[in-house]
Amino acid sequence: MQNPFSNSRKFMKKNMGGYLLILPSLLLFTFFVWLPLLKNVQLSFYDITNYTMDGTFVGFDNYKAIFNNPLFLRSLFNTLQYIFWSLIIGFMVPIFLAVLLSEIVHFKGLFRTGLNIPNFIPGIAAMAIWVYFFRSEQSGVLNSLLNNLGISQVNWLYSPPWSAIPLIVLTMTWKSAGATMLIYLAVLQTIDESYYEAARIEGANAWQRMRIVTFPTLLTNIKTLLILQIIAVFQVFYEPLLLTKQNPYSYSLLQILYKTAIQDMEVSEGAAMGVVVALFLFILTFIYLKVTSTNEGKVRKR
Amino acid sequence: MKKLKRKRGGIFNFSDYKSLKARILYLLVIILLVIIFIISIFPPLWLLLSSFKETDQVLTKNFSLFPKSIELIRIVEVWNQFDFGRYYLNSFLLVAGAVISSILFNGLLAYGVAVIKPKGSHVIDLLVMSTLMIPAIINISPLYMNIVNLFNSLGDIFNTNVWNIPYFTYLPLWLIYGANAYYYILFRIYFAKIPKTIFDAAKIDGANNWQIFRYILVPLSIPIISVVGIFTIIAAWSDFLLPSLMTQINQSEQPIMVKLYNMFVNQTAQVTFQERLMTIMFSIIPPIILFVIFQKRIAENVATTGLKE
Repeated sequence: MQNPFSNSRKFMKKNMGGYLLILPSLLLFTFFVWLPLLKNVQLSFYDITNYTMDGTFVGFDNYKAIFNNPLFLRSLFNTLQYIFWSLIIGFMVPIFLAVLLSEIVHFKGLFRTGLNIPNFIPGIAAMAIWVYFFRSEQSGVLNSLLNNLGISQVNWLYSPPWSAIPLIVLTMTWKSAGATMLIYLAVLQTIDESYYEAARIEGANAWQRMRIVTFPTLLTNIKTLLILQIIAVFQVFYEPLLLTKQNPYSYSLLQILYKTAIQDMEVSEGAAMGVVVALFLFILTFIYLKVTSTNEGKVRKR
Repeated sequence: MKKLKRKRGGIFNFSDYKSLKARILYLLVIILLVIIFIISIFPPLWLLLSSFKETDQVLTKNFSLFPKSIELIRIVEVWNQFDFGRYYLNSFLLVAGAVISSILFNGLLAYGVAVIKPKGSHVIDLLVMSTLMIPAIINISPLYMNIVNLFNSLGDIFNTNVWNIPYFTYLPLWLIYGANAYYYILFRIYFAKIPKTIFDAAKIDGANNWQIFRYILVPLSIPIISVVGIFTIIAAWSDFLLPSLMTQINQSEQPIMVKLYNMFVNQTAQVTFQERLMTIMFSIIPPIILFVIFQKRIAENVATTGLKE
């Protein structure tokens, strides 16, 4: 029989160096990520306002309160709308752009750079610019452009009220499509020309070549980016915060969380909202990790 | 035209472009891309040109892109009047610390999990990865409460008010970038591809874990280090939520993004139209310059990892 102490000493000797090296990083993750996540769960069961720590245990009262809060329910419903519009607008545009850009041989670098510039404009600065574009007065940039064309002014973002979300999704697409396009573009560039040649010899026309060769190659990335897109929609925050402010028709989940926890200092209800949103995101993250790891597996098998 | 005649791969190749119809289609695609290009750069271009304009020239019902006259002195005036130098300095300080902490701590963790692999590292990997998509704002109040409690205990121990120490509040703003699942995974993917024999050879030569990290892994990983560096610069420069909470007391330590945030969201200060536009402009110039310099490396990273910022 082996001596358990020599075993544990061996274990320590083998692993201690590794543990020591990652210890500082683990402390940071604990302090900045894991503890706050757990504390959020704890806070959501207490009655705490104004950032004082002493409160009474109230069970699920905070959860009952937020699910009776019309604005929170509205935000949940809005999130579905954000997903809908972002799948129609935001999801297709990068694929379309990548296919176009992979086909051209002139000014390719210039287009790629230009389309990516919005992605490097800090988020709230980008939305602050769009505030001026969407101004409902005649002096708004879009309205003055329309005026030059002889079209009367439009009450962007407010009339009809449901127009806020698609317009916000448009600005989000404007900001991020170039970066997503790069991922698709990188995949398209790996397609060997012999595939297209083979399809051509078989008599496939351009549309058929695209359907048979181009799209199947992109499919793996389409799947993962679809999940990433939905995750990104759950994180919509500063866009409506700047563009539509208090307008309930575009209120997002993180926006009401921010209003509740920071502006109104309703810490416990904010925590309950945080737990609900985090649950959604955990589920989506695991789907994402699952999908990407099976992809990795497929690549390895080849 | 010559380029089209040489085009081999893709849905359309040189043989297709013999037909006039295909060439017209190509021209239409180029025109479409020019339009999309203009849409992409138009808002920042409008901002840049409008900040030279008088207020009544910007808020007008007849649109004109170019200012009637360009007075560079206006920029200097506004810069000095609102002390932008100070906010820039704060932003640079925030970014510098964030980059160091981001590369060091996420890099070390990825090195531990991908290369040294001590027992239980796959559990750590799972715990880190599960927070990949959790934005900081979800935990913002418990995080802020933890920081306040820690600062108060530190104050009790050292018998001083740490909030008054210049830039002490930047410590959490820097260190939070050392706990980022996204940068961690970028490092981990890259480190895992390095042949294991290199590390084994160094171990046989008597190098310890830190020496292997410092003298072998880091020099081999310059491409991914610069990518994480660039992403951290952009993220730290754009960050406003925790920085605004941490600089509530000492407002002269606010980075430029917090100033922008206060201007557009909290609306705490009365500011002129001109100052608003200039603040946006000053806040977007450094990241755009950075992007133009490093765009090739960013595109390469996207191509290899399939992940974007």
